[in-house]
Amino acid sequence: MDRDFVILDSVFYLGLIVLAYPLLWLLISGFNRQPLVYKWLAIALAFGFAIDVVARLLWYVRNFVHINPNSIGHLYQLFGTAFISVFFYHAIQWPTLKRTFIFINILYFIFSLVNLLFLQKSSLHSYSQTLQSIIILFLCIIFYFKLLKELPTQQIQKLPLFWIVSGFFFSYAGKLVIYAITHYMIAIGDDFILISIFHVSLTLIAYLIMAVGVWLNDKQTSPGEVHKSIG
Amino acid sequence: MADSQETQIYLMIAVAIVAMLLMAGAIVVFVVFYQKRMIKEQLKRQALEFDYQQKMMQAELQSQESERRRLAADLHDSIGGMLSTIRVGLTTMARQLPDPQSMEETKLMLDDTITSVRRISRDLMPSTLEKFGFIQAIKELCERFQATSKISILFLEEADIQSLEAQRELMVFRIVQELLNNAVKHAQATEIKVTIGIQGQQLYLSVEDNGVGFNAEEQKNDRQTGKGLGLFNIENRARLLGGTLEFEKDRPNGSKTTLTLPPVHEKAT
Repeated sequence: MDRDFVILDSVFYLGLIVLAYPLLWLLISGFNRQPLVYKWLAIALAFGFAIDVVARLLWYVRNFVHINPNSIGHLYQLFGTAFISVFFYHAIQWPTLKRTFIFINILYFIFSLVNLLFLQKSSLHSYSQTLQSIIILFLCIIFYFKLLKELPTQQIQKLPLFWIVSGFFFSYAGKLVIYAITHYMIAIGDDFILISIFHVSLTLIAYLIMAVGVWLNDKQTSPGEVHKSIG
Repeated sequence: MADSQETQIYLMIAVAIVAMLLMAGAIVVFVVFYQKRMIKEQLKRQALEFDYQQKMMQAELQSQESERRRLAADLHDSIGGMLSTIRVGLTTMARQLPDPQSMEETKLMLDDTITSVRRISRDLMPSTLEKFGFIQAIKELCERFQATSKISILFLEEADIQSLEAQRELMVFRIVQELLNNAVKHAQATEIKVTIGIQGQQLYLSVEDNGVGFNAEEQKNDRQTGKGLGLFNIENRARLLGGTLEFEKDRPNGSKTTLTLPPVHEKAT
């Protein structure tokens, strides 16, 4: 059990360290000169980072402060998805989809609120997370579709947004399984540590892939370079 | 929960996660390869379109040239010949008149007409180009422009230039002819410099004047009034030659247009 905790903590902190690079770069060194799409990415990542840190702190002080660390996750479910959606909206640049984006986000917000107030309540939010994963996977597929439709570059692997979206895609493809079985696992009395290790590992993979995208963006938007995006 | 049951559940979860990751990976790989294929097809389509446009342009210019050749021959051989015969007839008639001097003005006008017909015929298809090559033809063109416009035209041959294929030579000649024509007609220049040389392995040719200058982009967009047509033709010819055309910007006065052609080849025999 202790060993599992050590692994969980190690992967979690490794994830935060990996995330620190794109986050610091986007927030500090390049925020103002970045186009909207990267600004929203920075906001979404920073929000997730803050929620993760607060939840972890609450876990450490659980004996003194009696707040369920999971409850803070509801905040991420309520607002984090909206930030990610706005990022995707700017990445996809398909104005026709504006209403669909708004509709999906309102629907998701209402569902998350209902889940918080009536279904899983404050202890768990796996239903919202499942729906969130489906939405993000759907947005990733729209992004890829638009990429194939518009062919913005000859070498797709040099497009920063392709890496960043792929980070979301890989991570949420795996997380969808975890979120879908969370309720069942809790019901059968699982301690959830191993599942959490899977979860933080997927987050680590996402951050690693996204870091490549941010690094490419850094390279391409250095003075004198022209920013490339699809659309 | 029993250990074996727990292990089985974890195993199933791990398999499901791996399956999802593989599926995501497959989609990403598909996107990458499909995109590459689409790009390849797009490039192929663009190359075909470009090739088609080039051929159309070439055909258009060729028909223009053959029409000029026919006109030049007709003017020189038919009208020119007839005018010369009339000139002989006039001289004979003048001798029979009591006052031969009365025909002198008519003869002078006829001489002017014959000269004009010859000049037009030469402009349409310079015989020097076919006989002595494009360098000599350009030199002669400069002399002719200087003689008719009274503008000082300096021709500089900075290297020993090999001759090109007849069709390419004709296109280069037409470009210089159009540029000189523009400089003489619109630039209000007092000096024009035509330079031809080799830089690296590339043949370059520039026409520079000290006139009022022009904005190439504005001229090109002004096709409705016909002003940009000359530049359009120059660019088309340069493209067919596989060369680049550069209009020097930000000059205090005058203009300079440089044509650069790919490595010089031996004349096709």
